[in-house]
Order: sequence, then structure tokens, then C-alpha cells
Amino acid sequence: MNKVKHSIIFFFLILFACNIVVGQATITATCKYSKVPLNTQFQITYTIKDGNASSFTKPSFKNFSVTGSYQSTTFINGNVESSFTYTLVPTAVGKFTIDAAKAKVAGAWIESNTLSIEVTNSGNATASNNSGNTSKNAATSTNTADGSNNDIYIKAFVDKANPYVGEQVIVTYKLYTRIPVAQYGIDKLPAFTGFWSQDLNKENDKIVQYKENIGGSQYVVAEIRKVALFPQKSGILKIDPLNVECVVQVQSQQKYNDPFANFFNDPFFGNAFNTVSNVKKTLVSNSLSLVVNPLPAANQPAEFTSSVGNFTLSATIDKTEAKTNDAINLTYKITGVGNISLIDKPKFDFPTDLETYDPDIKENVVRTAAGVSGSKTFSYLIIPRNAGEFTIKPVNFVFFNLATKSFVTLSSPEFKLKIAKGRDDEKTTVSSTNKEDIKYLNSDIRYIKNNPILLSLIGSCFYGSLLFFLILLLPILLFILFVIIYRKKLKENSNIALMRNKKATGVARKRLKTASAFLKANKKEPFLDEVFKALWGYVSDKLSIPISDLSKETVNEKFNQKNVQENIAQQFISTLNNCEYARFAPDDGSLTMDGIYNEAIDIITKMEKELK
Amino acid sequence: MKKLFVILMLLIASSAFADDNATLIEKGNKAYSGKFYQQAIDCYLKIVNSGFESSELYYNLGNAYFKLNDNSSAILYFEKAKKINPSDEDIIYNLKVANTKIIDKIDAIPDFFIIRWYKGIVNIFSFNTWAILGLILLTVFLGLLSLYLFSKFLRVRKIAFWICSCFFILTILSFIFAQTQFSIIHNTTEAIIFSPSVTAKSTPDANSTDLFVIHEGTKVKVIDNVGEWSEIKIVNGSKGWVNTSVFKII
Repeated sequence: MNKVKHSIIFFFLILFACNIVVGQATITATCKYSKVPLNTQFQITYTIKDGNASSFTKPSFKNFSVTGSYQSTTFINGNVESSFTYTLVPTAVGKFTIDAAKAKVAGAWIESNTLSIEVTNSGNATASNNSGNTSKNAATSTNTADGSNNDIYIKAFVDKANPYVGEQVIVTYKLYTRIPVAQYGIDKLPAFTGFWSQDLNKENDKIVQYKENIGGSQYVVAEIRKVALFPQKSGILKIDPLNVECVVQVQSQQKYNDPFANFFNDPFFGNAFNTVSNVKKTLVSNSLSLVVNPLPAANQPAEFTSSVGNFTLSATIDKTEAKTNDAINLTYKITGVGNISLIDKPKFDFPTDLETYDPDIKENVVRTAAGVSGSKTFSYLIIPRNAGEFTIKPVNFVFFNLATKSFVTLSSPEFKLKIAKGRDDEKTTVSSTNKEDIKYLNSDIRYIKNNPILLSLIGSCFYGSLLFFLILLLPILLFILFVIIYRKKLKENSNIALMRNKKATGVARKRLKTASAFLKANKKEPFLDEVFKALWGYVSDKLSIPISDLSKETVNEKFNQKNVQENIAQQFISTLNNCEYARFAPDDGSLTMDGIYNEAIDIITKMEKELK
Repeated sequence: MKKLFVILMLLIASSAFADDNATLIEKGNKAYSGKFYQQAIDCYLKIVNSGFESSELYYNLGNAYFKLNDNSSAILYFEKAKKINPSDEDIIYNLKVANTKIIDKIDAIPDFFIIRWYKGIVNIFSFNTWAILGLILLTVFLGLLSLYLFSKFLRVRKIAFWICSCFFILTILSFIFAQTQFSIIHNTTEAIIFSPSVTAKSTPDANSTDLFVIHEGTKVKVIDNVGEWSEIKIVNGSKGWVNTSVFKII
């Protein structure tokens, strides 16, 4: 209110200077509106005519808050007219009466009329007809900031409404104003959902300003924000509105077709008579919808990721001949216009003997009003670990060219590296700890079987089939058959042997009996024959030795097998020998027939015991 | 006798077809190596449709299907090949690769380690191989048995006894293994899911509760059949009812 007081003092000074005689003074309150929406600014003016007020008391403005005030004084045909204008914002809904203002003119208090104002929840301000009897004949009011958006607003523009996915769209937010703007600040940038965005305004960029005539009014246009958007999906994408908070300078200028008034309207007095107040205002731009076209699906190469625009590719290598463990640099650079930051690193298929690291990525993005362009560089460090000749296969970079509406494939050149053995190579190859595991590059199924295929009928299987059981039975039957036959034969054989065994003693006795008869008759030749036969026959039957196989050796062998005592076996052989000897030797009395006979009986008896 | 006659007739017939099938296989293999996988499949399937099979044929078929990205069919034929020849390394490997491409990853309940070892031994050979091995072992056993019984030499008999006992055990084991595998294969019906996504139900009724969802390429056991519905069991032990048309029996 300091300012108001100040103005009042100034006001009186002028009055003194003019020295004007005052007639009957009046004070009137005027308001353009009778109905005002909540939180909307409007103005009330108190005009004092035909008198100079020495003091002015404003009403209490209950249910309203005062956001600004100014006063002015004009001279019309020697009459002084002063006015006090208050900018009000309703704080409550309802019908209110604004009390009368008081002014002291020439020592007497005069009162203005009261105003009734209805505050509604929403809607537009309605012009009133209770503006009193103010003379409006000469003044054209250019009151501002009273809720109308015509004086200052923000509009968003896009350079294309139907972009492709990934195509650059530039959104420009333009501030249109007819009144001075003290300052502005972007409240919040929209989220730009569905887009990859890149702000095109730099910190110290000058804002582009120009004048534009819209609907007969001159506007100052400022491009306050430029954003490059790259749609990430097709379909309808919405760009949210931008909120800008700005402080506007509200001026009231009352123009009169009066040279005297014009004199006060000049810049020098402008400050004195046209009071400026700062008003805060939040501006909201319009929201936009983009119809984003999908990229053509046909002929879309597999390597395509998301690059849209126009690019060039260059790939260079600093050396193609090196020694093991030397560093080699491979540079892969993409330059052009478009969403350059979204370019992925190239998928180089480096031979496994070359050690590589993640590339060093440098991005040089130029953001101008025309959009985003620049370059992205991928620098690879390659260290060959083993000697040999290696090939780095070309890598394709695919982008969608907007000019030709087609996919373009760029290929890097193929690099051939010749790596010679370095100095410390021997060490690495000898050391067993440096041996490498086999590196599996890919997995795939094994190749088909090309060897001749043995087909069988579906559902047929050998196990459990008739053939299986036949083959199973065959060896069993053969075995049983074999057993039966063998057993039978064995039985036959063993019977003969047993009989002979049992009869052996009897046969031997019989033979010895005939021998004793020959002994009595003193017939030496037949006696020895019988004893000989008795002994041989006995062992043959007893030991199951065929007569044809009979010899001293076989008999000895059999004795050994049957565990016959050594001396008995010896005795048997010696008896046989004596018998043989007596047959051919002359009768010298040492080998009597009696002696041989007794010897034979003795050995057979002993044998009998032994072979039981 | 009648059965034997039929088998004999078929064997004669098969020898007549053998030439034809051999050229078909050769044609199929050539198509495969030339990457004409569909042609290869046509050739192989002609043989299968004429009533013949072999593990190698199924293996090649599975390979061709795999190359055409038809994983369900590939797994079906690899499984068929494995059924005939459970120990073939290539079949096992390719089946494993094909199984990595399917959607479902179901954790199997691990067998008790003794059962796992037993199955491992049983699966060394197919049951036919086990049966043939058993017959050979039986013959050797009987030969040794007669040697033991009738040899006149004590030492020979002693050695024969021990070897004979070993062969007896081996013979019995071979037949047990053959029978085990035979019953595993013939008493359990396994199938491969062919529908992209199948919801297993709690009862054989489309309106019953949804239990779980499985996808194409998954191997299931078919336990029961009721009309158009089959009860299946997946490797983690869960059971549910699905329409019979969603799978193909291995």
C-alpha cells in the first residue's frame, strides 16, 4: 500500500499545480461483470469526478482477495477525474455485495454506490448492467489479465502429424502474447510417453522472437521450447500439454483523443499515470495427437533395429599386420541425421583368438532447431593372442531411409589380419596352464546318419516273438538231449566196469586154481601162463584198463592215480617180472613154482585190500 | 505256424521293397544335405507309411523337422528313435538340443539313485539286443555246464564250474534287463504335445477346473483314456485331463 500512498501524494501535487476549482464531486464504482467464476480475476474501478479527493478509503472486499491495484488521474476540459482500480479474485462462491468506498473531497466525505457480484463455481464472467452511471463515452478500456486467454497463450506445433516409427518430429511450443512478460518458467516438461525425446534448446540459446498478426491483433511470438521426438511405437500417440508459469505485467492505459491526455501518455509520464502490476499466470498449452505409421514390414532386414533417418557408415582399422599381443584399433562410425543415440553397438563376430573388450562409445550429437544429427563412434581395442591369419567379418547396419521410404543396408568392410608371432609367444605356448578350453561357438543338432539303414517292420520285435522262444528253446533242448545220451552211454560203460571189478577177484582165483593144478602136475609152462593171465586180468578188470592198453607203464600210472602204496605197486610189478623171468630162464631153483604161486596169491590179496 | 507263415511272407515282401526303400533313404539323405528338408521328410515318411521303421530313419526324420523349426515333430521322432535304440549318443544329444527349444521347463522328480543306475544299465542296449545277448550267454552257459558235468578231469571241472556260474548270472540278468525295458516301453504310453498351448483340466470335461498349462513339444505320459479325453502326467508328477487330439503318441 506504500505505493498507493506515494501515488496519492503525487496526485495532490498535481492538483495544486493545476489549481482547479472543484464543483460537486461524485464517486462511482463500476464493474464489467455481475457474475464471476471462482478464482478468476476481475477489476473494480472507483471514479471520482469533479473534485480532488484528499483521502480515499477502499471497501473491505470481503470474500475477495486483492491481487493488484493502480490509480490514474485525467483532466477533461479542466475537470479532474481520478480513478482507483482494484484487481480482485473471488475466494468463495455466492452472491456478495461490495461495500461503498469513501473519499474526502473538499473536506466532506462522499460515498460510492455498492456493487453486487455473484461468484459461480465455473463458467464465464457475465457482463453486468449495474455499472452505474459512469461516463464511458471517451474511454476505451484495455484492461487485461481478467481471465481471458486471448492476450497470452501457448500453442504447440509439430512439423509432421503422420511420422514413421523412429522418425524425428519436432515439437515447438510458441508463446503468443500481446502484453509484456516479465519472466516465465517451464513448470514441467511433458512426459512424452511413447517417445524418445531430445531437448533442442541449449542453456544459453536465444529465444527466437518475431511478430505475427493473428485475427487483426499484433502478437509477439516466442518459441520457448523445441523438442525432437522419436516415436517408439506405432499408433496414436498423445503429447501431453506443457505447463508454463509466467509473470505478466498488467497495464491499464486509457487513451483519450485529447492532446492533453496524450501528453501524459508519453513514456515519461507513462510510469506516473499508467501503473504496472505483476500478475502470475499459469499457461497450459494444447495437447497434440500424432498418428504414427509403422515401418513397412515387407523387406525389413533382420538386422534392422530402430534407426530411422539418413546415415553413413565408416569402419577403419589402424593396422592389418601385427604381432601377437600388439594392440589394434578398430573404429566404427555412423554419421547422419536421425535418432543417433539409439544406435546399438555393432555385432562384430571377432575370431576367438583375438581378445576384444567392450567398445569405447563416443557420441557427438548436434541438436539444432532443425533436429538431431551427429555421429556415434565405437572404438574397439583388439589384442591378438595367437598368431595366424584372421578375418573380421563385415557387420551390417540397417536403417530406414525416410526420403526413399525404404530400408538401406550399409556394410563395413571385411578386415583381414595377419598376426605374426611376438616375442613372448614361446612362453605362453609352452606353459600348460595357458592351454585353452575348447570354445563352443554354437550348438546345433548332429548330422543325419548316412550309413546303410536296416529297416524292420513297425511293431515287430524280436524279443517275445516266436522266433525268440524257438532260439531260446534250441540250446536247452540240445543240452537235455546231450545229457540224456551221455548219461545212457556212461551208464552202460560204468556197468561193464563194475561187473568186471566185482568179478576180478573171482576170475583171478579161478585162474590160480588151475595154476595150482598145473603146479601139482609139475607142468611149468601152463602154470606160469595161468599165473601171468591171472595177474594181468586182475589189474585189467580192477583198474578198467582195456587189454590192448595193458603195459607195465599204464598199470603203474593207474596205481599212482588210485593212490596205491609204492611198495605194493613195486611188488606187483616184480611178481610180474619174476613170472616172465621164470618162463624163459633155466630152472636154477631160485624161482620155484611154489614161490611164484605164493607170491601171486599174496600180491592179489594185498591188492584186493588196497583197491577196495 | 500261421504267424510264422505271415512273418515269412512279410520278410519276402520286405526284401522286394528293400530296393525301393534304400533309394528312398538315399534320396532323403541327399535332399537333407542339400537343405531341402521338406523333401527329405517326404522321402522318409514314405518309408514309415509303408510300414517300416528304424532308429536311424526316425533320427533323420527328427533332424529334418528340427531344421524346419518344427520342434514338436522333431522331438516326437527323436523319442521314437530313442525307443528303438536307447543308447545311441547322437539321438540323445539331438533330443537334448531339441528340448532346449521348447517353452516348458518342467523339473523332473529325480529317481532314487539305485533306480537311476539300474535304468542306466538297462538302457545300455535295446531289449532286442539284450535278448540276443541273453541267448548267446545261455548257449555258452549250457556248454560250460556240460563240460562241468561230464569232464573226466577234476581241474577242468573246477574251472568250468566257476565260469559256468558267472555265465548263468549274466544270462539271467540279460533276460531281466530285456524284460524290464520291454515292459517300460510297452506298458507306458508316452506322447508329445502338438498344440501350441494346452490347459490340463481336473476332470475329462471342458468346464472343469483348469490345473496347469503346457506347451508344444512337452513330453507327457498317457495314463488313462475316457472318450475324447486322456489323462496325462508330466515329469514333475502333475496329472490332468486333456483332449486326445492335442498330442501324438511316441
